[in-house]
Amino acid sequence: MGSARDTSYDVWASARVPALLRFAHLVIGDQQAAEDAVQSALTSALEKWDRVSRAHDPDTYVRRMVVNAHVSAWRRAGRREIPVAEPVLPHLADAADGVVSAGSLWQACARLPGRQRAALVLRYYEDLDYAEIAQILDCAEPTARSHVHRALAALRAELDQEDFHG
Amino acid sequence: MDDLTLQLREMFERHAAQVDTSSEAQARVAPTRRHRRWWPAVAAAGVVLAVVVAGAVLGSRAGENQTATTAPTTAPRGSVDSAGWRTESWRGVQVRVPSEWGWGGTPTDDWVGDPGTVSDLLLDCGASAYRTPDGRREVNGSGHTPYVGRPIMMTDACATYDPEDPPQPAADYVWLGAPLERGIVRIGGYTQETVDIAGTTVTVTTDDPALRAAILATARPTEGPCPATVAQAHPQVTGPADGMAVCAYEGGDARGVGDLVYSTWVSSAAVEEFDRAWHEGISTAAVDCFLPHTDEWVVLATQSKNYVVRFDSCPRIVAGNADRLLTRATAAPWAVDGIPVYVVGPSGASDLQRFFRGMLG
Repeated sequence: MGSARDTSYDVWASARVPALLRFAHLVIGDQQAAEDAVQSALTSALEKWDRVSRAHDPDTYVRRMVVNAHVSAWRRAGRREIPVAEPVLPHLADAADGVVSAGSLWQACARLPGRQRAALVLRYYEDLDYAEIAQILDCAEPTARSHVHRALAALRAELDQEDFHG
Repeated sequence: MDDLTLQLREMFERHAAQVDTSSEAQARVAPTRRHRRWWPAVAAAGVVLAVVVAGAVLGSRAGENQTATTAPTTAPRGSVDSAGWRTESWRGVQVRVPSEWGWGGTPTDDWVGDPGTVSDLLLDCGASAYRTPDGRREVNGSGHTPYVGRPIMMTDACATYDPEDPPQPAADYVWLGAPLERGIVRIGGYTQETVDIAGTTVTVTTDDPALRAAILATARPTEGPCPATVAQAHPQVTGPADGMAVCAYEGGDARGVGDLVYSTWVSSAAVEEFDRAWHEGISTAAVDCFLPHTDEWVVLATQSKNYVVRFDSCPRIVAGNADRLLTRATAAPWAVDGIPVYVVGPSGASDLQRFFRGMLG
């Protein structure tokens, strides 16, 4: 491993790791699993750093790896509900009409298929446009739009049902 | 912006603010630097596929004198050669992989209805790494660890998938015996190539074409000290000159002949440790046992002696007319590497749990 290569990686990593940890946590829903996913992604990125830094935006590469980890875990879990950390916040806001609890929304997100959840995080947390989301999810732009659309529809349906059942 | 998307933004922001991004957390995610150790081997030999040639030479030597194919000079145990590769075998095929790779499962046929009927889907019961060479166990598998997979259920949490739309790999892997068609398939940025060796498939999936070629070039019929099939009652396996071969088998026809599931090698130091445990061990003659059929067993083969590990009502190790109960002391020297991944082992022996897979994976 050349020192120039290490330096280039270290500079990038020191600036980006906190944001990557936050991103991974939102996609995966668990601090430990998020750290594991980020570590694996960083390890992979460092191994291929020359190629990753030259041919890709390293951020895109690492975030794609994190999403893939989540999607794989979701598939391995037999598409069952994946346990997530209990939300700390009781509510997003006062229990006014139309405002769902933060816990309900977090849990509903956890039940989304991996790519749909990742698409929501990229869209509504990272504020990326659909072309950027498509690049990270390694799919076509219309597919990225579809992921977001389907995720929102699924959340609305689930939260409506929860509302209905009280 | 509607209520839901606004609430999503707020929820994500609040959760993100709670994530531990401290310097300690950042240190925890530092890369593990799992170098692909085949490049130094290639460079040292001065030819592109030096590692392949080295593997072939070592393999043929093993065929001549029945020694382990990759007797290490530095590693205390495990069949790792000086280039940092190890040999993996399943049934009648073997292949060499970087020694950092873990062990896990492969997809299998999705058996439905009448015996012999399979659906068009593949069944994934743990096609990922479940154990790493440093002994780390992944309860739900690790999608990011390169690994060698065998068609053995790692978990009962299974999912089916369409082979035309396979899951996106997140790490390199080799599958032995997976029910895939021969040929090359692109999966995202990865290439998956399946070949047939002696009637068993070998599938290599990686985003590195040179690595794929190097691994595939090492695939060949099993030629190490552990035969592809062996009779439980009279294994007659000739072990290596140094150390001990560990050969795991399963199944068994009417003659009690089973198929090779996994093999590894332990050093002479491990053999000494085993010898001590054997001499201090307890014979089953002193224990009330009933001895039903066992359909998995492990052969431990030194150059002069064979031991057969049987997992019945008295999990024990047999050598000729003598035997010893399987205990932590008698298991620890050889139940290493992929043994805890692929050998179910005794039931109900909690003190032996860490050495074997157990019924529930």
